[in-house]
Amino acid sequence: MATVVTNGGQAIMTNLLTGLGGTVPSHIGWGTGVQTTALVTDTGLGPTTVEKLVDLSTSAGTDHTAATPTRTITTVTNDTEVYTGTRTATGGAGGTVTVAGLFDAASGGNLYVKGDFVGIALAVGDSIAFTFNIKHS
Amino acid sequence: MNTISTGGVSLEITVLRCACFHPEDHVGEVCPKARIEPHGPVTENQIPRVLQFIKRRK
Repeated sequence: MATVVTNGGQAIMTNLLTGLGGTVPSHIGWGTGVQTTALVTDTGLGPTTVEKLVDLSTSAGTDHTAATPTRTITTVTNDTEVYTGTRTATGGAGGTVTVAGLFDAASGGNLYVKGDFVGIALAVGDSIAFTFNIKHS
Repeated sequence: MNTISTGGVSLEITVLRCACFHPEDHVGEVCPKARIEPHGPVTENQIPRVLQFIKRRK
């Protein structure tokens, strides 16, 4: 299991810091399938996992959930980005969530942070509250 | 809550079970989905009744 800032995420940061462009990380997605360790080279929630809508039976398209950004202290004041958001399983059936990602768009977009974890079985109506923490050092 | 941490990057995960199906996890809370009647905080005493309600509905 791992949680990583992807190479694409590094590009998001440099783009924003230099003022050259870019879009801030803002939305959370999730996926199901066979869990594999998140890699910095990943550009989506695959390859063995599949991104799913809040309706976990559907993988067509994306419907990322808006995340709330804040800053906090880990070592020194405001050295850590924090993004929080909650996704609730809907639709006709639940599923087992094994991966989540922080993107810069409500649909599609660029993957900033990716994390994989031991599968969490959700029934319809169950939710997962996600908090992504990225410390700068 | 589970936390997956790699270096300075971490992901915290908190699972929120819907009170409609997991009333035992929501004692004192209002049902987030408002699917059970009457809606309102789930108390210890209500758990058997809610579970019965769900069983009948299936």
